[in-house]
Amino acid sequence: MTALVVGLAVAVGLLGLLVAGLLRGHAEILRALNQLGVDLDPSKATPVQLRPTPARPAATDVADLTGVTPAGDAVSLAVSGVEHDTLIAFLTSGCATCRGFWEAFASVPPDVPGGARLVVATRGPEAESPGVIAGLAGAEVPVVMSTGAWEHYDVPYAPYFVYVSGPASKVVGEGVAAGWEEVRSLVANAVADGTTRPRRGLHQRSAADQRRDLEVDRQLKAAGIEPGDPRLHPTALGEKGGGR
Amino acid sequence: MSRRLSAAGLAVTPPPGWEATIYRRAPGPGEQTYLIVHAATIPLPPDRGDYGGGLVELLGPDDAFVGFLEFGPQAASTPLFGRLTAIPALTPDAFRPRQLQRTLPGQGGVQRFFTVSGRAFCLYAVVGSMANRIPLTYRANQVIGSFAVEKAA
Repeated sequence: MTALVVGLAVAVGLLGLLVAGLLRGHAEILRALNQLGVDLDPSKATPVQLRPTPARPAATDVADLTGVTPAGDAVSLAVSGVEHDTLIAFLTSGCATCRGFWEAFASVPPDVPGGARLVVATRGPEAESPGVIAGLAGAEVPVVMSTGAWEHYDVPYAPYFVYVSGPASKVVGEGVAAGWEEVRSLVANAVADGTTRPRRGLHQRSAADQRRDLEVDRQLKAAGIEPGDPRLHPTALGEKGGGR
Repeated sequence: MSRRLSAAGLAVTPPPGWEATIYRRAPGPGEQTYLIVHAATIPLPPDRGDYGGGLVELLGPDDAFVGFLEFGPQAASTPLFGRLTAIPALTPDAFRPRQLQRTLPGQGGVQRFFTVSGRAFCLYAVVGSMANRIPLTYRANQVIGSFAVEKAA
């Protein structure tokens, strides 16, 4: 009987040690994730921080994105030494949160505040299926499949966003977010604060501007005003018609 | 991370500030398509013509575009492509406003046909401003100088 009690006590003690070890390991994982900027509280999505993370040794260590497209074309997209800024979205085909970004990018041209160019970077064809990525990607956002880019930017997990200032050739912000609207809003704030200073946006007009242009064209056409109509080029205020 | 691109025996290394792609356009009915290299100092728009249509309209005065278009093996033996047997460098005076596929105000273009390693190519380059053609020619030549061709498999 005594031996049984002693045996049970030893077993309970060992199990207690095991549980304590597991709890300690769990706490260390949470601490490590927290240091990487991940908050697991579902009510608070961890936002993109528009500043270099402490983990990045040099904000100026930026590289152009060289790899292949999902169609198999070789491609190199310039992000440094250019006049525009680039928002790189590191996505995978498998992560659940990435799905929302793929859908947001595929449906309409994403409108990035400040005119930064949005580029999706996935791992290379040795790690991701080009066919699957092609099915997820729309025609609006360029996609580069490059494991080298993931390694160069030291991407810890997906989805992950890196904002590169083209004129300054440096990373001005990076992090993770749960949805596109959060990323958009944070970039908009950074643009308003002057954190990003692109010399020029993309030549391509924003989605909102394109929609506005199409609507104006539609209304003009409905009113019988076609391209080249002299009424579009009045020579004096108050004049309804005229030439150049 | 190296910027060098290579595909099907073609290679190009865009200098800093340039981006580039090597691709083959999907053929239309009864059409055979060959490799195309596009390089530009502006972001490459997704919808581009073989000769840079859709891109050259976006060039600013400090921008340039370089394209190499491969033609079929039968073209290599024709006088048009056979006259030059090396990848040609460009000079500022080679650019002409009327050598554009479509005339655009202020821009200049140049076209050269050549054969290297038994493969026939057209080089087509555009500068965003004729007034800036001297520095832009230098930049275009950096791309052209990095272009390499191997014999077709």
